[in-house]
Amino acid sequence: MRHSKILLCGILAAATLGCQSEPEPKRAVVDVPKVPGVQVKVATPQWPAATSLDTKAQARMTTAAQAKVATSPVPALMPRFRTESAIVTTGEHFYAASIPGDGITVSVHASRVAYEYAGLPKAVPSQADRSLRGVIGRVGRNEGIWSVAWVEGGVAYELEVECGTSVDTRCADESFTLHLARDLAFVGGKGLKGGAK
Amino acid sequence: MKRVVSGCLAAAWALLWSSSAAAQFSYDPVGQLHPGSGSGAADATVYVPNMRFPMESAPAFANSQVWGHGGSQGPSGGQCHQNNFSFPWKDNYCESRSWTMPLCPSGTGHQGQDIRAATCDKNVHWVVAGFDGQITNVGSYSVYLTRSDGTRLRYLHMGSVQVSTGQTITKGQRLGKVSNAFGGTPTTVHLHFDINQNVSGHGKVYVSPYMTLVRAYEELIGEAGPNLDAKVIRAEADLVADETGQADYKACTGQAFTMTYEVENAGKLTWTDTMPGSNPGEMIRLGVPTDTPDPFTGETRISVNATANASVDPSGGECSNATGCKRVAFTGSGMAPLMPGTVTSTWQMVDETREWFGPEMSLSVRVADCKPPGSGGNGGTGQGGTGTAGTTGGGNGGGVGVGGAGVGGAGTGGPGAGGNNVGPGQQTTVTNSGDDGGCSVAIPESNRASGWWRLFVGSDR
Repeated sequence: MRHSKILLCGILAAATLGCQSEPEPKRAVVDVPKVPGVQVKVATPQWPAATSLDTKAQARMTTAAQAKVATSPVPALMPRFRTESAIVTTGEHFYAASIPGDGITVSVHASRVAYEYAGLPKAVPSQADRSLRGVIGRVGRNEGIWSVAWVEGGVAYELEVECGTSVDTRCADESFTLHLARDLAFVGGKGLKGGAK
Repeated sequence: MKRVVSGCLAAAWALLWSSSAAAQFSYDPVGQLHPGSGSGAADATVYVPNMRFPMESAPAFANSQVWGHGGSQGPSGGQCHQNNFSFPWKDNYCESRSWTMPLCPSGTGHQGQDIRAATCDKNVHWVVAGFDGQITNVGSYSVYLTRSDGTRLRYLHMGSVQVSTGQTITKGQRLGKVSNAFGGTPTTVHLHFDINQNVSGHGKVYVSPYMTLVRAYEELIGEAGPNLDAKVIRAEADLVADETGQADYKACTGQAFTMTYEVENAGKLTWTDTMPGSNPGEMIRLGVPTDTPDPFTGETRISVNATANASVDPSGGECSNATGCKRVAFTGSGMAPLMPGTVTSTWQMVDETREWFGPEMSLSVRVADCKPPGSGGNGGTGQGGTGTAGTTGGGNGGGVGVGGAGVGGAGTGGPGAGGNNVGPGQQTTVTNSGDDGGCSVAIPESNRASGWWRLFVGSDR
């Protein structure tokens, strides 16, 4: 008996437009030139519960830093290290905190805009993988500056530690940097009051 | 006095160089590292288009500190050796390091690019901002400049830093001077420059800055220009012109046709499409500017390699049917959608990952149901398409058959009484027992306007 291929086609129809999902509101990304083969995605951050707000860490920040945090488009995470010295910067799609002093500079950068490039190598497990904050991050060191990078709630974060001298034990290995990253405090942001934006 | 003299000499030297900088500038392909320094990434992406080059003035020399003269792995002669201040540039983004670098072949690498200024002098040559942004961090030997989308440029080892955290910066603004600061233990006099971006699947990661720097340097020395340009010769389809004037052409729902876009190379560079495509003009395609599938062909790119002319030479003849002609004809096999309406297909020339160039080219097609609803029964004899799909597709009450490779059934039937009419909420099954081909179903026009339809296709051998 000759084998033959049988195609079965089925059609299911819905009568109402209510079956369509609401489209995600589009956000313009400023200053992103049209680059062939590049998709740009703006994430809607998953905001932590208001109960997880670290009010003590918040209180240690300067008034100016607190005001800046309130404008952050992503959950603002603050190192529990010399928080009173933090200088906060925010943009349409990013948040950053810089903490100088005591011979080192600690910084946190976060962005909700992700670029998708065709042809880049995929991320693979490596010896640089570290568990932190419920996800897997990546530890690294570049020109003497330690870093930990991870994605949390749809937002890409990176914490870095730069030592003023090469003999500072806090830059002897990854432990200090990793500790700071694991112990970051949620100190607020735009989405804390009115829901995710 | 010594510093003033040094500064004057450096400025004079730069002025002397700048007049010939354009003629002399050359660079090794991206990913081609200094011999023995590791495996490079042939990543020609310009991650920050229109970036201002980090040095205020030309010339500048991107090369290895470690494998250059005076470096720990380099030949003798000291960091000020004249060979360190010459072209071609060398990529050192993936140069061997123990540092994590997921975008490099070995998984480790340098993460940025080292750049020497016009001379070996420290604290003389200005470093400037690559784009508008804010200073988000200043360390002992680092300055971070962040743009509104979170893309970050970093400048290391500078002296005479002029900026502070929180400061708003404009493109081209002075940030500091090329020096050798490195946390108490000086390094060689150079700028380490890197680009950090949130890349899907990787999070915040250092991306290759090399081609971004090449483009920026070309702009600085006046070499940027219309190396790539295109002139449209024709944009047409083998369809009948739309007599209503609502569109260029008209077609029946599901009708197959061929589109042709012929363009002429109006720039300076020959167009090819070869890997790794390290240089401009080496990854040339016809593309959909929105990077979404074309409504007729389903494609987003057509390579010059898929045409009769895989090397489009601007000095070639006014032909497109052979290699070396100055014109190239891209053809696409398409199909009109199954729903009536006016649909537009838009394409543009692209140098992949670098830039779109030339004008956009469009074709519009008014798609209509070509036959009124019939009385059912067997539909068309299915001579349409390129396979046997039509034959079987027409066997089930007519309507528009969607065959295998072509358009089955020629759509001569309508949604007849015996056909597989479906309404909202209904499901129907169509069986095709042929070796090739598809199945057809008629969707009454009254049911097409609202809602959405889902097609399930399964095969069972």
